[in-house]
Amino acid sequence: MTLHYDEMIKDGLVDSRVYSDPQVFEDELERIFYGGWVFVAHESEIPQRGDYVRRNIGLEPWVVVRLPDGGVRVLSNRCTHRGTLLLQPEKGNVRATITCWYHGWVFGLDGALKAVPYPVGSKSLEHKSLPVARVGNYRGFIFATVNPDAEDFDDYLGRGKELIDRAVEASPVGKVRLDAGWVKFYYKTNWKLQAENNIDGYHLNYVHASLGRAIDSRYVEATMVGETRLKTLTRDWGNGHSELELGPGFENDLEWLGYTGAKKMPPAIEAYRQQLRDAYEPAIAERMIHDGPPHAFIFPNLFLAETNVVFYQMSDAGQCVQLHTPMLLEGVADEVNTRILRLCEAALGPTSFFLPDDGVITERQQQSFAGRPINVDLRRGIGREEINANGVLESHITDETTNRAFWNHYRDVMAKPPGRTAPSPTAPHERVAAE
Amino acid sequence: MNEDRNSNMVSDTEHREVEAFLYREARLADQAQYDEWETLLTDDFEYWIPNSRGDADPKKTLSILYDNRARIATRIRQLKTGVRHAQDPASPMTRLISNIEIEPAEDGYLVRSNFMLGELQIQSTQDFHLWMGSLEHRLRRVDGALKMAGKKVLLINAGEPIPSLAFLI
Repeated sequence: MTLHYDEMIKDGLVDSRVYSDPQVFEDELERIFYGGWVFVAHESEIPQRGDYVRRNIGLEPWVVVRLPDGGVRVLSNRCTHRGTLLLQPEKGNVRATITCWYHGWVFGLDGALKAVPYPVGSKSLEHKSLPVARVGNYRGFIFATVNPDAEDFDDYLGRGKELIDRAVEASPVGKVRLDAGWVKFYYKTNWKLQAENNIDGYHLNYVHASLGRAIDSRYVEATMVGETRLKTLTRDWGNGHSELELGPGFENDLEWLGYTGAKKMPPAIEAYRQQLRDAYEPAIAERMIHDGPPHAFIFPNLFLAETNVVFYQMSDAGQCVQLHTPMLLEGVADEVNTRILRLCEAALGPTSFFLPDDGVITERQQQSFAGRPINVDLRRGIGREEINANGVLESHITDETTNRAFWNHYRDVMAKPPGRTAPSPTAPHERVAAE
Repeated sequence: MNEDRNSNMVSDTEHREVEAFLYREARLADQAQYDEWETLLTDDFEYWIPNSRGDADPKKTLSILYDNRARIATRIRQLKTGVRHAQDPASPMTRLISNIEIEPAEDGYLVRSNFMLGELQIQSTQDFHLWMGSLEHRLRRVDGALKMAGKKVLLINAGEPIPSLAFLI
């Protein structure tokens, strides 16, 4: 059955089959995950030559590897002989070659087939190099696409670059490290319910009611006061990228690091504030000191979660895993990064003060999508959005502007005419390798 | 090196006291008796679930959970609000503690044990989860009574995808 996505997603109403139908999931794999760009890793995860991390693109196994010349390559993790996974540990170092433990085929880090045992009897090895994905790297954030015909990386990322800029500029030297490990939170929901929830500014009073009552959270002022007092914002940055602007809710410098003004800042934190002032022009420095790094979503699978970074992997329409890590800063005192580490554990993951509640609420949502479809209503705020001075669509924090940003782009990608999908990665990839 | 374990043995009375403490701690956690559970903690209690099975430094790497005394107090306050959806209602659960080994330590004991915990995620999926791993309790005698100064939970599946873990494990 052909699904008509431009009918299923229309004017802020979303047909609930997009969260539950296996056919939709198959179409997403082809058109989004094998058809376009996805976030795969951060440079700091593979600092030394031969370092690698395993990552799925869609359902398929890939590895992100550091080359001897310092570059980064994204290789298929399937032996081109019989498909065995080449690298089983989720990260490690492979030195100069990758050897399959089934029959001993040897591949270079560039993906080239270098040797096979008993080569006299082997036929047609000329197209047996590992498929190589196209790679885009923006300030250390590595994206890949397995589609040779995908749009240019710059066109895909678009103004998402400004969001990544605002994340990495939390470091006075403009560099972040994602090397503290990823905690993986399993949800029995479609992956898009997590993508939606992470950029939803409307749910905090209810989903996170318990936190509001248990602590004096920075989120209380940012998000949990009356509608007209709320100064925080939602933004649609185009290409499916979006943002919750929490800054206007903060009253004090570095409130996003947990300093509410009630206690004096420790010297290391004050020194960090000064470092930002010394490193950046005043407008950038003061915005960072006051607002912090952004709460932003980069389509389709990267969530810049203030001082954390999050991405998703999925196994079918009804299950996904959200991985998170603290965004540690280069060039700052250890105290700042320890603070960021502890904030990460408090905010994200299966034991945290926030996400388990989002988890059960969205799992209840997923369960309700059994049976005949309903419309999910994401129309809040239509009619009161404005284009701001920066040329970005903006609205009240509780408006579903961010969710519509996601869905409008999703619809455009999913409704693409058939035939524009990625080739199977077992097909020859000379074109990719040549780039 | 043959360490003489015998020189490290605790008396039968001590063994029974430590064992009773572990069972009580397990029962209070199973039954979501948060206030009673909290009375077992020292003022400097530390609660830790590493994100890996091997050695990890919680100062440098991300943990699944790493609470100091103030944060566990907040956690308990949150659980008691009645609107902590992830534990509202509290998961029905039962844990078994076994393989208890007790080492005397400064003003108390280091206790290693294994655990198996069956949990029904009653709040959303109705899925049954089996949690399993080993525990390290640091117990200290405060005014004559044993208290828990530290609890480290080493999950077999640390580092793998895990579902909501908003209860006291």
